[in-house]
Amino acid sequence: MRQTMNLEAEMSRPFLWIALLSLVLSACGGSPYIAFKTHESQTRAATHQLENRQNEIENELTLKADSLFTRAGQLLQKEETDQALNLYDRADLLYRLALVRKHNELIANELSYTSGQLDELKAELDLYKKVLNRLQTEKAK
Amino acid sequence: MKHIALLLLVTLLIFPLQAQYDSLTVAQARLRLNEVHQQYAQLKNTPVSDMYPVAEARLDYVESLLRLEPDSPETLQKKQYAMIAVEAAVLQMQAIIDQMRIEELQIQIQGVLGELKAINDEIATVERGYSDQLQNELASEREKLQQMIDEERQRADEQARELERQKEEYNRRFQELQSELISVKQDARGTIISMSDILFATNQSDLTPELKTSLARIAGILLVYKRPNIIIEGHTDNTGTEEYNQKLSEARAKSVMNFLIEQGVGRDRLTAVGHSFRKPIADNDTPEGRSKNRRVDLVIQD
Repeated sequence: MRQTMNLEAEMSRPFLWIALLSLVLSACGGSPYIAFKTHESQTRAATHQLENRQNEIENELTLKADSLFTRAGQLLQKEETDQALNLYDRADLLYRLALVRKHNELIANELSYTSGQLDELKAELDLYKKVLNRLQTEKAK
Repeated sequence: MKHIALLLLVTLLIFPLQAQYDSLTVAQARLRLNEVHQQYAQLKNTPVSDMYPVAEARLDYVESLLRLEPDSPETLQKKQYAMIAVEAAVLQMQAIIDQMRIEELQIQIQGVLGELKAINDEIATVERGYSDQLQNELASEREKLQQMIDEERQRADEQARELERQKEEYNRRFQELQSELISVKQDARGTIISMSDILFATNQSDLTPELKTSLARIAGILLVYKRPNIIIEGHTDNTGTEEYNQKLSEARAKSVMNFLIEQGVGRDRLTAVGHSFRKPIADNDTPEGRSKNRRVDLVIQD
C-alpha cells in the first residue's frame, strides 16, 4: 500500500512524465512527435491564414505564404512531414508578419488621428480662454 | 539532403521576399529588437508580445548556424526568416507602444474636454453676474466674439489651404528634379529626394559639380517655400566597417547641409544625420543593390 502511494507521489512529478514521454517517443522513432508538431504548425498557419482572409489582407507576403502552405500540404500527403513542418512554420511567420504590418498601420493612423483631435481641442480651449478673459475684462470695466 | 538544398535554393530564387530587415546582420537585427523591447518593457500593463521570444530564438538559432555553415543556402534562408520574425516582433511591440500612447492621448483629451466644460460654466457664471442693462451689450459682445472666432477659424482654414497648395506646388517642383541619379518619392515622412552616391567622389564627402547643380535647384525651391524642414540622411552600403561608414555617411550629409546653408537655406530648417548601412533600401548582396544603398536622402517634412 505504502509502495503504491509512493509510486503515485513519484508519478505526480512532471519530470517523470517527461522522461516517460521521451521513452515512448524514442521507441516510436520520434515520428509521432514530428507529426504532432506538424499538425500544430499547420493549425497555427491555417488560423493566421484565415485571419488574413478575414481582414482582407492580400499582398506579396500572403501570396508567398499561400504558396508555402499549399506545398506543405502536398508534402504532408507524401508523408514528408519534416519538410512540411518547415514550410508550415515559414508560412505561419509570413502570415503573422502580414497581420502585424496591417495592425501596425491601423494603429499608426489611429495615433495620428487622436493626436490631431487633441490638437484641435487644445486650440478650441485656447479660444474659449480668450472669450472668458474678454468677458471678465468687460465686466471689470 | 541534396534535394532539400535544391528546393530551398529554388524557393529563394522564385520568391525573393522584400522583407524590411533582409540586409541587416544578426547583430544589427538584435540591436533593433532590443531597442524596441527596452521601450516596450518600460511600459506598464502591456499585453504580452508573443513574437519577441520567437524572434530571439530564431536569431540565436541563426547565429549558431552562421558559425557552422555561414554560406549554406539553408542558413541564408533561416536568416531571412529570422529577419521576418524580428520585423514582426518589432512591429508588434511598436503597435503596443503606439496603442499605449493613444490611451495617454485619450486621457489628455478627456482632461481638455473637462477644462472646456469648466470654462463654459465659468462663462455662464460671468454672464449671470451682468445686470439686465448689460445683457444686451453682452449679447452684442458675444456676437462680436463669435465673429472673431469665425474669422479666426476662417483664417486658419485659409492658411491650411494655402499650405496645402504650397505643398503641392513644391512637391511638383521637386518631382521635376527626377533623373537617373535623383529619385523623388513620397512616403509617410514626406517627400524623399534620393541622390545616388555617383554624385560624390568615391569614398569622399566632397560634392561633385553635378550634385551642386541639383542641390542649388533644391535650395532655390526651399528658399521660395519657407515651411518644410529638411532632414539630410547619409547612407552607405555594407562594405567596410560600420564605424568607417558611419563617418562617411555623416560627412556626406553634413557636406550637403553646408552647401544648402551656403545657398541661403536657414540652418534651423536643416538637420544632418548619418545612418551608415543601417537603413538599406535594396539588397546589399548584389552590386546593383549596394549601389542603390549608397545615397543621400533629403527628407522634406510636410
